[in-house]
Amino acid sequence: MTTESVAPGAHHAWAIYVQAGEEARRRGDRRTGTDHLLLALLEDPSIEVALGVTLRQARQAHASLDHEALGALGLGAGTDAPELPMRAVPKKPRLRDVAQKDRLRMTPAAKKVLEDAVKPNRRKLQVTAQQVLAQILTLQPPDPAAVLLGALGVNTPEVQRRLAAVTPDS
Amino acid sequence: MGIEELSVNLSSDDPAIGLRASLALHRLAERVEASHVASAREKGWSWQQIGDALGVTRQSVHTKYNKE
Repeated sequence: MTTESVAPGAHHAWAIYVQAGEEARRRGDRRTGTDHLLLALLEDPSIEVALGVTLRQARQAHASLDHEALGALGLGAGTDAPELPMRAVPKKPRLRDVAQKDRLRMTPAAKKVLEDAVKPNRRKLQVTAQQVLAQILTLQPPDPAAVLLGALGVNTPEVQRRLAAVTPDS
Repeated sequence: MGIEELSVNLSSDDPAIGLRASLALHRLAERVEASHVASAREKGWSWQQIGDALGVTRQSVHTKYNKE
């Protein structure tokens, strides 16, 4: 038996992907990016603890980055529109949940994060939120997840050290 | 804000901000569209009329928005 098959925090990799897609949809994005993967991970309370950031704070920081960028174009703080509704994500998505016609494809960076996260696992559809987070933490700005972590003031090397301490060599 | 001012602002020399702003505009446009499609439906517009206004087919707006 491999470690990940008994790991309590194992997620279905598709669930993270579909949840991230809903985060993207909510913002009006056409692609699911690394930033949306990060937001999806924050659904897991242990990730909120690891980063010292709540999902709500991360979403707010994400929106603030957009406001700031729009502000640089001269579009004032009043320039906004309501976010789109997110759909419910099943814990164990089936193929039909993943292969929806209107799914938002992943950016190349997001795809690489998920692929690298599952790489050490024997069961490629099982992944822990920590494994995905570890990949996201290796990203550098201008990657959107790295920019978001920066905006949140997350001390990335410190989180990496703590993650490595609790994860037996992955 | 005049168009001259917008183009001056667009020439902001930090690509990190400029590229993010471009994506932020896309996202904003998508949210503006969604909220106005919803209000058009509330006001009794047909999918055909909304499609015509957006320059796409009736089916494509229907597929995109008729979820709730």
